[in-house]
Amino acid sequence: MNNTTSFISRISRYMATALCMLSMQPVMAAGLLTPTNSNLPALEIRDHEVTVTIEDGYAITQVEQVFHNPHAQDLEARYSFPVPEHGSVAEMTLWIDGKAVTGEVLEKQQARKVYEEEKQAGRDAGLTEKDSFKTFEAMVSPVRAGKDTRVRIVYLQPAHIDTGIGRYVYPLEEGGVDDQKLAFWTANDKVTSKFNFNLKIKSAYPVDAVRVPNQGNATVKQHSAGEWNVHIGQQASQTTPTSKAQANPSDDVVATAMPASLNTVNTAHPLEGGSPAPAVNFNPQQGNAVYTLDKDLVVYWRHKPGLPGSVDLVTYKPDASKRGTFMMVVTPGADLKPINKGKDYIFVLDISGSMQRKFATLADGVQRTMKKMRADDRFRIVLFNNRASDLTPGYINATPDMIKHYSDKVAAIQPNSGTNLYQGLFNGLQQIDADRTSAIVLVTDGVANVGETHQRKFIELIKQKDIRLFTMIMGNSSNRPMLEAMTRESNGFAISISNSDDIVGQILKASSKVTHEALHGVKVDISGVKTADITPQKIGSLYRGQQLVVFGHYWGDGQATVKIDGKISGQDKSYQTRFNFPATTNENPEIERLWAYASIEDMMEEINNFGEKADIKQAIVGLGTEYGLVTDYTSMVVMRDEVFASRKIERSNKKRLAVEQAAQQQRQARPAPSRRVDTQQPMYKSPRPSFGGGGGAIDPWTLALFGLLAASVMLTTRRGRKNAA
Amino acid sequence: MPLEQGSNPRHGRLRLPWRSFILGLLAILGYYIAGPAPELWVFSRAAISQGELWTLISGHWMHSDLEHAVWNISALIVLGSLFEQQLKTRLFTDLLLACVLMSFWLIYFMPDLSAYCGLSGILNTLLVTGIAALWQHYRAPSILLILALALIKNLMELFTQEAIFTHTTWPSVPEAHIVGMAIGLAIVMIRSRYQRNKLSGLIAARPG
Repeated sequence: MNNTTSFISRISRYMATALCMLSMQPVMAAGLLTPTNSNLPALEIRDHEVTVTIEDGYAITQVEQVFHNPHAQDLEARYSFPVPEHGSVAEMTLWIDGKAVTGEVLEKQQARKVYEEEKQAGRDAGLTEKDSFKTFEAMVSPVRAGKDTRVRIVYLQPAHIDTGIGRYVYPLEEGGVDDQKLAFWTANDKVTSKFNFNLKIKSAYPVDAVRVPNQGNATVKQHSAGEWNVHIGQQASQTTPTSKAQANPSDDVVATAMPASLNTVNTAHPLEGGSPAPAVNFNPQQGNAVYTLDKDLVVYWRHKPGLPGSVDLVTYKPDASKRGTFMMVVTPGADLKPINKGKDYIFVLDISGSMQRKFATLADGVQRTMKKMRADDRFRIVLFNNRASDLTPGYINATPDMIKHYSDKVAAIQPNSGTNLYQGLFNGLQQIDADRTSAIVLVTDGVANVGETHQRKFIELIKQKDIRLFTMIMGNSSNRPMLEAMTRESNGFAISISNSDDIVGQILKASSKVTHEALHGVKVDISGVKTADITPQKIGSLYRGQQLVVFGHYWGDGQATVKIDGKISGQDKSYQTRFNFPATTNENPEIERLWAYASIEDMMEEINNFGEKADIKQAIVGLGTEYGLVTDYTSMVVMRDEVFASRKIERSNKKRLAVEQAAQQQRQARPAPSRRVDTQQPMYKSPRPSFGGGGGAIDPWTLALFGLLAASVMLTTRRGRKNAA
Repeated sequence: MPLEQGSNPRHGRLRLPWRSFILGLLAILGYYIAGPAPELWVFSRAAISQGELWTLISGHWMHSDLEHAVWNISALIVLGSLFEQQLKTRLFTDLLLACVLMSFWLIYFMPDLSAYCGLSGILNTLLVTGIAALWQHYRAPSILLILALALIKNLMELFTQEAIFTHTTWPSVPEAHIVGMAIGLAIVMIRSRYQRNKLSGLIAARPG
């Protein structure tokens, strides 16, 4: 008996040690991959230069890198980076014999085959593939012995505003969600020679502050009311900034518009926060590396408060007689009322191993969220990894003591094991009190790998109860498609959180949504102009501060009536405006790709729900190749021009890029034009919501003045008495 | 502690400024029960457009954080205690008038501001009406000097667009302090004109 006990105890110890070792594996960042434990020498990232332009509601991110091979043999470079939020690679360019050659998109297997053939033949080739929701991987072969290879990757993504604040993330921190990949590869995330990050914001709406958290060396410059530049890296311009910037090397950089705007939200308070993430500073003294690509770079920009609710229209229609593409961005006014009833919040928290690096952020976020609760709110906490269990004995009243007690308990948890997300949600959905409004706050990276993992089952589960799901999507490489689909189905909302984010800012966004009514069952109707292929197919709900972004095609031109219908607290609500769709425009060709990728995301949701269907897959391949987008079913391959010709691969992406680059040059030369189209007949009466509260504050100095006044009165009274005596 | 004047200002007796204490207590309870910047009670443009008109008044009695509440409520108790023996019930009417007028100023002249909370704007009204009342009784130049210093400080804040010494969760609205003073001045002028008219009416009505 003793022997058995001892054996079990020993086995338990070994298992615990093994689990511990697993959990201590270094988490990868963006970087050049080398197989773990192989004899293959590692390549070097010599230069890493990022240029981001945010204009007209979308961001174009260009990443140009130089890979160096210090070894005596030719090698293949394999660069991996997390999938940016709703981002799709639209360009891969290789410098072959000093000449830039752009890639073309082919069906995934075909692209891989072509690349392997070129690689085997020893000819220069490149390939960019998408590994589902996790990473993009760019391969370049060969990087010649002792030589450099330059490669450029460009991706597009929507860049919208939430409650007056825009957020851009350059994703570098790998999510740590793919155990097999973690075990197989190690990443070289060190940049050895040159690192630059340049971001330009061009907005027709005035931007009154820009903030770069955890990057004390960032330079922020304002060029006009809506044009700002952010620079991190070696070649910071030495010209005097026109903005008021605070730069502490170990802290954040906040710049506010100068001269100080007369609006009252001219400090960065709404953007500030206490993210626990350590600073990731550009540091030329960092060993042999000038930068390490292991922390996301986050940039926030804040629109001037009090801007009107608006409808903006960006179109691309180079030929009046042909089909055009549009992107309509609706920014509602602040007409959603606060909800003043006590609520039940069920926190469903992911404590699986993949959450290890994100858990401090999670615990901080949960604590801050709980502190925002009202006295008549209640909460429950459900934890899940391989199994799910309640941390709280039923519902707890949201008193400060209880909030502190349970947030301390959450902070003390050590994440481990797998992710049984289904069981966690299932437990969360139990014990719902029908007499109270309830909401589930799900905090996870969403990579379910234990128990039920099919997206359809999750959606069926969430539909069983009439309860809103508010999802905090943690880190990169999270299963955003599934989490967003589930959230949309529940009429809730999802918010992404990076370890580099201002947690308080993201929590403010979330809590302002939870505490206000929402427009549910949103439908958009456009009449007067022929439109089709509208995406997203299902909009769901619009919460406070959220923008509605609709892509589609249109024919002809002229005045259209746009109507948005929905329900607020069960009551019908309708908004309407009229504006012109132009006959021709050629400033924003990129929105064709954005429309295509949004459509692909709709189709991918269908596949994730109901399984792969040949016709949908074919449609995705068709869109991917036509619009030059790297998707789950298409990849981008780069070869010499003559090889493209000999393989009879049409250079459609090359032509598209030429059009886009010409348009980008044109846009660069002029200030951002207003895209607002509802000025004649505004869709909203009230201005946009913002965190822009102001407060009248008495300070110690004034209080001392009042004390002086009191003393003066008393002295005068005493003197009066003396005189009277 | 200020003295209750009674009929003879020089023979006062110690009396608690209960009106100020009640107002202070209400503000403390407001913060304790409703918490920081409660959406139901702060001045909110969206809520007002939806008919929640009480925020025109309640907003001035709510605070965005503990620091904000402590300084403002302390100032309310100090100023109230100092002025209430002169102002009596006018303490309530002055503050109420200040709440309403300040809210209308926020609506029409601060279109960028979606929400507002805090006592300090209306406390500046109270400062002016209270000092005017004190001046009528004491005529001490030091009282006017303090009003001048308060005005200079408020103008400095208006010029720099920042609160000089406080850093509350919601950014400060320096304009509110100056506007509060202007409202106080308007109340004093209207009140003195009314009193003058009343007095001249009485003189005119006196027989002979």
